[in-house]
Amino acid sequence: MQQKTPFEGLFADQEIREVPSLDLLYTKKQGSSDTQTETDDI
Amino acid sequence: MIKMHLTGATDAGGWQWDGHRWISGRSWIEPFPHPAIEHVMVTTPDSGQSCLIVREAAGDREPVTTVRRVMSNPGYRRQVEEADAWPLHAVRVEMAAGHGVGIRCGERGVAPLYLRPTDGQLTVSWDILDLAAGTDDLDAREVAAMLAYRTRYSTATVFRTMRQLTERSTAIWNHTTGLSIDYPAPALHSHPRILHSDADPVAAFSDLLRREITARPLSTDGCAVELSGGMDSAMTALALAETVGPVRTAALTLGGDAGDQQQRRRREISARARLGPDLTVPVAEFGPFHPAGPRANGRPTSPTDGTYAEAMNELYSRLSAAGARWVFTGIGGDELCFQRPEERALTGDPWNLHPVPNHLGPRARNTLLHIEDDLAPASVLHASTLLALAVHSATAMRHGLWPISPLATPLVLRFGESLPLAWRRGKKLMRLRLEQAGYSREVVHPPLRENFAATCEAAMLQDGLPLLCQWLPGSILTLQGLLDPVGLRTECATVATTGHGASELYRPLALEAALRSLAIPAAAPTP
Repeated sequence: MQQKTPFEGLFADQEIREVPSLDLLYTKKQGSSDTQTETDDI
Repeated sequence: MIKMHLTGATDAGGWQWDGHRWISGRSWIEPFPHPAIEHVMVTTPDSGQSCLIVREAAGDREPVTTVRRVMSNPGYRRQVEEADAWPLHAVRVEMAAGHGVGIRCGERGVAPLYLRPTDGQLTVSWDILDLAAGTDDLDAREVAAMLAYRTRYSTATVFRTMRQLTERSTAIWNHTTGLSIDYPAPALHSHPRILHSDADPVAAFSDLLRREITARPLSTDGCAVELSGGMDSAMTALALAETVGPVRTAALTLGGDAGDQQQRRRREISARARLGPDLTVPVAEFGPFHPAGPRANGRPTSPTDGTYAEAMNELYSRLSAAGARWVFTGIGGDELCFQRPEERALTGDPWNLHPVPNHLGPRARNTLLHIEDDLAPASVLHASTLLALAVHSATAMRHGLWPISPLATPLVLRFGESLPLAWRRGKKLMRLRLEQAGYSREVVHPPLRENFAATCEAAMLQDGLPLLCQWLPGSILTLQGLLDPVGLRTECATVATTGHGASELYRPLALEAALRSLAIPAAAPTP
């Protein structure tokens, strides 16, 4: 059974948890440059 | 969080603690020596098994008071299960006489372990520099991924004989059969959800961060937070100020107008949040490959070290000298406010995908077709977070600092994933947190971008380019077909003539510098 989170009360719908496509987990720094430590600021 | 050397057949019962290491014959295991880390060797005479559990001490659990526990078989199993479900970072090493050694790490990826089996021995460390791998041992695909700015998260490293223990994986080693690593089942992730009309995500987010920080015992004097002035580290700093108190702050600082803005923003955050003493290092004075730095002088450097390793080492060295033992970061903030691929398609926000550099050699280029093969299954945290933690943790730990990144934690990410896009896009969640706390518009929405682009470009032009030109004739990477010498020489000449594009030469130079510093160059490429 899925464990409830401390923030469950914020939401009006049921949580959907599933195995994602790996694309989801590689969204951020795929190909990002060395000159930024974060997307929009340091 | 451990260093380890195993040799010969596994011994389950003979491990002795000498105050520094667990020792059995010529084998030893060394937990990271830090007040944040506790360890216990659990042994069961019933089945002749032992398990060394090394973990981050948790505030709501009984601290370890004895380094050895002898238990019945059911009690032993409970201890092992507890280690696997530990709420903070944990590693366990399980041993049974006549069987292999099993090493399992948790889901947080704070201090990843690197493993190198050789001739009936296994060396393990959180620091690649401890594992002497040869430059004739390069994994072309991993090298290509690094040079081409493509992220890969798997058990592979740039050295074919060195493996990485990825999150939740289990390494099995036996002195006769060698090393194998079992991946875990893919992790589940949440879909964006619908908020109640009166929901307060900012309050929930702040509460989560406070919980995460106070999950372990901490002291104000021992803690420092990296406060760059950006959104992510500001979130960590505010939560720390509310829980631990006026902790020390630290940052790499910029020059010029952006530096002035950064200084004003940092000052405002520090004053309003009532943070502690500040320590800064001007990044331009310790830029990549500056002549007095370790990389330019051939001192051992890791292929995974960050772009600003010289400056970060200086910062951590000063923090450590000032008495800091824990360093908090904003790592994970970008992934917390990430856009799912289908959302990015809708918003049209750019992907920031770096083109494949022209200087890639044929051997590296050939592997790009398979760059997305053989990756680890879906991890609990994002692959980019885990890789950032790996870079950061090793640098901090070399200075005796234990790194904590509250935004890079499973529950906080699950919270971020659950939020509707509008709360994640442009880091609205974080900006609203600052706005509600009364920060100025310059802190919440800085007009100037603050990043290290100019620093990297200037340092590479002044110090990096001459070094690369000097090293090119006997370059390890070109000799092995991983860099194209003609393409790279042409690129160097263009940069020297135009004065632009020097940053593009950073990765080949950084990897070449690491390889030169670590081992004797290879005589011939490996097919």
